[in-house]
This record gives sequence, C-alpha cells and structure tokens, in this order.
Amino acid sequence: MSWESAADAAQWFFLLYFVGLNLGYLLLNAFSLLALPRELETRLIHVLPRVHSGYEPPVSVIVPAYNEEATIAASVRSMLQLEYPELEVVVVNDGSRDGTLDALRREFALVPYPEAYRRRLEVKPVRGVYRSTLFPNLRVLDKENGRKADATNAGVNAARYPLVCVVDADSILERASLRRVVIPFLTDPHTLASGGTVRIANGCEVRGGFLEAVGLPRNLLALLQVIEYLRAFLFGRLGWEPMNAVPIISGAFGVFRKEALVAAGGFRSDSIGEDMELVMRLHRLNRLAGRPYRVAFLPDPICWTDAPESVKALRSQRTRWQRGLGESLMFNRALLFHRRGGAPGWVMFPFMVAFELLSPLVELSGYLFMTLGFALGFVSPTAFWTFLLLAIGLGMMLSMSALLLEEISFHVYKRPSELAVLAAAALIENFGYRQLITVWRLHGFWQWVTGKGGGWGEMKRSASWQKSL
Amino acid sequence: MHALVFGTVSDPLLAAALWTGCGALAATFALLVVIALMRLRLLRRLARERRVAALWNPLLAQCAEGVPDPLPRLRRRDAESFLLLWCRAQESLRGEAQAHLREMARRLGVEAWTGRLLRSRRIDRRLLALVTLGHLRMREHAPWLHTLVSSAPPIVSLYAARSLMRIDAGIGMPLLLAATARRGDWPLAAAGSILRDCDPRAVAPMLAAAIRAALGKQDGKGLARLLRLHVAAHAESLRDMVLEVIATAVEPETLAAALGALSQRQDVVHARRLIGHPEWFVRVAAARALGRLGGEDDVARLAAALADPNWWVRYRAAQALCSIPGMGPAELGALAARLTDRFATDMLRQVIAERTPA
Repeated sequence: MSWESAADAAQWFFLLYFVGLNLGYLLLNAFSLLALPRELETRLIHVLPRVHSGYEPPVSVIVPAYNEEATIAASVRSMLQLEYPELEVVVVNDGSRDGTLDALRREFALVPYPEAYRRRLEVKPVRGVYRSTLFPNLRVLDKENGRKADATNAGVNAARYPLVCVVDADSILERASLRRVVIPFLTDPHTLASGGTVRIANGCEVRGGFLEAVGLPRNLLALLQVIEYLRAFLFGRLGWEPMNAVPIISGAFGVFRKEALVAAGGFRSDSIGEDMELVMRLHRLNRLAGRPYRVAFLPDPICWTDAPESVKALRSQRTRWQRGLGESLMFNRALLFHRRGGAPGWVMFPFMVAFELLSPLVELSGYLFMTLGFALGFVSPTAFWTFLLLAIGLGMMLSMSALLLEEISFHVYKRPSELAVLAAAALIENFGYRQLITVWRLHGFWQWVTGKGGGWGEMKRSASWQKSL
Repeated sequence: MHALVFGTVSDPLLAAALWTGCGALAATFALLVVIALMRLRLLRRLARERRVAALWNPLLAQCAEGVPDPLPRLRRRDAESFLLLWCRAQESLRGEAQAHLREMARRLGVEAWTGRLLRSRRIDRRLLALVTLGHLRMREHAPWLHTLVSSAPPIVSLYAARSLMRIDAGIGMPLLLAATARRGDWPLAAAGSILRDCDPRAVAPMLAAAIRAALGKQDGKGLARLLRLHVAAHAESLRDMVLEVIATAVEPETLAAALGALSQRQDVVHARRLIGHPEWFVRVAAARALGRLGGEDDVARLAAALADPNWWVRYRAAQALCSIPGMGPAELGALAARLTDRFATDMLRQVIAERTPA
C-alpha cells in the first residue's frame, strides 16, 4: 500500500468514525427527546393524589463509607430523613483509616449488636455490627477494607428488605428521591434496577445533608462537568431507556432488587467500575437466560454529587472510569452479538465498545493525524480547518442539545443568568476541555489494556457544600 | 482523488465535511435561540400560574364556609392551573366544604373543561381530568370510567378506578377487586391504597366475593393478590373465606397469602400445620402467623424453626418467639442458652437485642 493510499484510508476512517460517533449520539438524543415528554407528562402524578402511597416495599439504604469522617454524619442524617414509609440505613465502614467509625459512634450513639450476619455474598471479614440507640433503623457494619464493591456487598448481606438502595456516602439526595426511584418497581414487577440523574452539587447550598438551593459552581472545571453530566444522563442514559438497554446505574444512587443482585453475585470487588459492571451483568444474565427484566432510568434529578475541582482529581476519576468501562465490557463480552442479546447485545454493547471504549484512541489519533499532517504539509489548511470545524461544531451541537433537554424537562437552574453561563460553558468546553478529558480517557484505556494502574486512589473531595452545614 | 490530503473545498468529501460542520454550528446557534425562547415561555407560564393561584386560592379557601359569590370568570388558558388548585383543595378539605367546592366547579362550568382535558393526547391532562371527575361525583360518567378501569393502560385505569370509587364505591369496588385479580400490570400497592380510603366493613364482603370468584376459577395468582388486600378489610368478616382458602389451596403463593390474612387465635392450627412446608416463604408466613396468634404451645415449634436453613425463616421465628405472650427477656435468654444450633442461638440473640431498649 502506498503512502498516499494509507493516508487516504486513514482520512476516510477518521471522517466516517466522527460521523458515526456523532450520528450515534444524535440518535440517542432523538430517543431522549421522544422519551422525555412521556416522562414529564407523568410528573403531574407527583402533584395529584398518589396511587402508590402507603404500599411501597421497604428499602434498605446501604452507605459504604471509606475515610468519610468529615461528611458521614450529615450524609447519614439525610438518609434517615428521606420521605419513605419504611426504610433502614446500613452504613458500612470499609476499614476507614480516619475517624469515620468514631464519628458515627458519637453522632448516633452506637452500641454493639449481636447480628446473625448472613454471608450470602463473599466479603472481607466483618469486625463488628452496631446499632444506633437514637435511630432504631440505623445499623453500622465495621469491616476490613475491601473497596466499595466489597463494602456494598457486606451491606447487601445485612439488608433486611427486598429492595436495596446503594448510596455514596457523599451523595446529596432530595427528600423524595427514594420514593421516586422506587416507582419502576411498583409499576413493573420485572424491574431489577432503577436509577436517576446525578447532578453536580458544587455551588449548591446544602443543609443537614439536603439540597436547599441550586447554584452553579464557580470553579471552571466543575462548571464544565455540569454540561458533561447533562449530556451523560439526559441522553447518554435516557436515550437507552426505551430499548431497555441502560448501560449503567450510577453508584452514587441506585436501587436494586436484592434477590436479583444476590443471584447475580453482587458487586464485583475486582472491578473498578463496579456499578456499570453490575448493570451489564444483569443485562447479560437475564438476556441470555431469556428472562423478562427491566433496568429503569428516571430523568429526574434525584441525586447530587461532589465533582472534582482540581485537575489531578479529575484526571484520576476519568482514567478510573475508562478502566472501569473496559473491565465492564470485557467481563460481559458474552453479551456482544449474542443471539438472545436483544438491544443490549446488538446495539448498546457495540456502541459502548466503538464509541465509548475506543473513542479516545480514535479521536486522539484523528487529531494527531490531522495536526501532524497539517504541520508536515500533507494535509491542506482547508482540510485541517474543516476537520476542526466538524469535530468542534458537532461537539457544540451535542452539548447544546443536552442543555435543550434540560430546558424542556427540569430547568433546575432557575436564574436566566445561570442559563446563560451554562450555554457559554456548552460552547467553551469544546475548546480544550473535551480534548483533555479524551487524553485522560486514553490513559485509562491504556491502563486497562496493559493491566497497569493503581486502584481507586483516594479522591480528594472539595465538599464545598459542607461548609454551609 | 484524496479529499483531505492536499484537498480543496472542491473535493466532494471535504465539501460534505465543511457543510456538516457549518450545519452543526448553525444548529448550535438555533438551539441556543430555542432554549432562550423556551425560558421566556417558562417565565410567562410561571407568572400566569402565580396569578391564577393569587386569584383563586383565597376563593377556594372561602369554600370552607360557603360558595363565594360572585365568582370571577374562569379563562380558558387558566383552566388547567385552576383545576389543579381545585383538586388539591378537594384533597385537603372535608365534609360540607367539598360540596361547596363542587358547587363552585358547577358554576364555573368545570365539567366542560374536564371534557376537553379528557380528549387531550397528553396523559397528564387526562389524569387531571379523571381526578376532577372523581371529585365532581357525577354518576353519569361511571360507565365510561368502568370501561377505562378494565382496558386502559395501568396508570390511567388506576386513576379511573379511584375516581369511580369516589363516585360510587358500590359499583367501583367489585370492579376494582376483579381488575386487581386479573390485571398483573396493576401494582397491588395501588389497589390497596385505593381500598384503604374505604370502610373496612364495606370492603370485607366484596373482597370475600372476589376471593370466592377467583377460587372458583382456580386462579391462583389472582387469589394470592386478593388475599394480600386483607389489610384493607375487616378481619372477622373475612375470616370464613380465608379459612376456606387455606383449607383447600395447594399453591404455595396462595397459602402464604392466606397465612398472612389469618387473624383469630383459634385459626393458629393452620400456621402450625404449615410451619414445616417445603417452600421457605410459606414457612416464613407460618412463623409470622404463629407470632401473631400463637401461645406457649408454639414455643417449641418456633424454637425448631430457629434452625431452619433459610435465614428469613429463622429471623421471623425469632421475632415470633419474642411476640409470644409470656416470653419475656428472661425466658428468651434461657431459651437462647438452651439452644444447641449456633445459627439458632445467633438469630435469637440478634432479635433479643433488637427488642431490648437501648
């Protein structure tokens, strides 16, 4: 093959890939646009007298905690105040090296409790079980460190109720979030998992673990993540809902049918993206067995999370997410193009491989090829600038369409000035930020391919909202 | 011909890419304009809703005493917001006030607005109309609601059922119960929630009749669903029917549901009979029933169930032991000390700790 033919093939490949990638996202956007009005129409149900009230299944809220001394008390208090007829809170102290357990003991007057601990899922040894003398529905498990998945499984073992809600210790929930996220379990008995939209809490006012007022972060990195989260949730997930192919229920807040979770083997401790891996596994096991099931996603903003505000923390998070994605797909590769795979196996899985897993590699190669070609003179300036226009223009269009979905649906950011800031962020994130994220994702991809790279690392949270407690 | 390499805009591929890029930019700015317009529309809608609330909320509050006179004209564009306020007022007020609200609605011609909303393609408008119809208590709508309960999608049919119950519980309840047994797409919680608003003494005979019909049809699933509604019915009035089911049923789901509906001490024999059932969830239901209805004679049975291979049976048996009259902390402690099975001891100790005030 001549040099010219190779360059010709490369240019075709990159162009077609960019078109395919953006076409895929546009299709997801279209599905979301179709699904969203239906979701919104049923929102009136929250205002009308409810048809489900009083019979909601009891829920065990599991809060895995590792070195959360500063925030754990407020988080647990907020879980205890959720609007729900019957719930228990199980906090799992995953061998924290700080004073997490002491903070819990102090705040909730814990006493040792002789729990007949049931080991349905294999977990690291549990050192002790405590119960609160202030809140009868609060228990704390103290166990050896084994990462979040192991801690969550320990909580599942201790859970009494048929539904388990897994919540990050630093998540900020709306009071009605649990009641809303449980609705798919009431309306469809085949529902195995349900999750909702996660939003960025930086810049918001939080009191007692609850969100009091919504605001935009002042930190630029966090602000750009607001747009990213809108894109990821409002069409990255909602778009898959009508096909019953939602690829992930965020580990920050998700509800699972306990028996299905246990039957699937619980969260995998050897996966860094245990939330996505579990949902992929639920798809794989149920699709391949031909069992009817549903993984539901609600577009309602029901959970708010602390976004990293430093470059270092954000890089660590994104490399970790990309590795988690690779692992989740690899562990569940049997779903890919399986004859019983349905939409998850034939549409979602190939999409995730082609446009989520491999995209950093192809995108950066494309940028590199064009930039080098331009610098070395074998790509004309017209071609170079056209390529940039295409890549950035489509990126801006997708970001703006996410903002449109937000405006159609929840318009969480009330002030017109906030909307203007978000629109500006949707434009500027395409000039450097997205490319930077792609570099970090490539790093994560490389770590996954080579099997190198650390574990979770210790994310430094800004928890700026905690200052207003 | 290479479109990118040394390409010019005359290359078809490059030209397509250029146009796509320009189109994406144009679409971005078009979206920006649409977003701005939508925000303006939202602000106008919120202002209108505030205005409607400011005008009508005081008048709705006055309905506690009587219908305000004169009433302002209800404008077409305010009708939906008004109906929402009116329905909320209906939910929060009681007795005469509700009748005043209905009279107010009649004078404002709400029925005509409701009819329009019912014909809407939007489900939220139809649901609002259904709730309004229920509060209006207009019997002429009952046959139509009847059809909706039987055949409409779950959420619409449930709201129709609630409205029908409000209009005429005598017509609505048998229909609601029959639909609960038949419609697997109906969450049991929803049917139970509707029934909870009724007098348990009125529910019991109708529930018994529905259970009898399901028994006759040998509809195991429907039978189990209906039995789980027992909490909304007067227990004594339902007793004979429950006993008939528990004596004849063989399906584990039905047996478990019937055990849950047992309410009289003399019926504990059935729980004793079923504590050794092969299905674990029947044993769980039997243990719970023994806790509710059992006595000292059942201590040995429940102590044996503490060694059951299933955790839930052990847990419920331990809870049941704590509920048996005469089983105080000392007796439970002594029993825990006597047990030889480690799982049984652990479980009993856990439940004793649960019951001990801190």
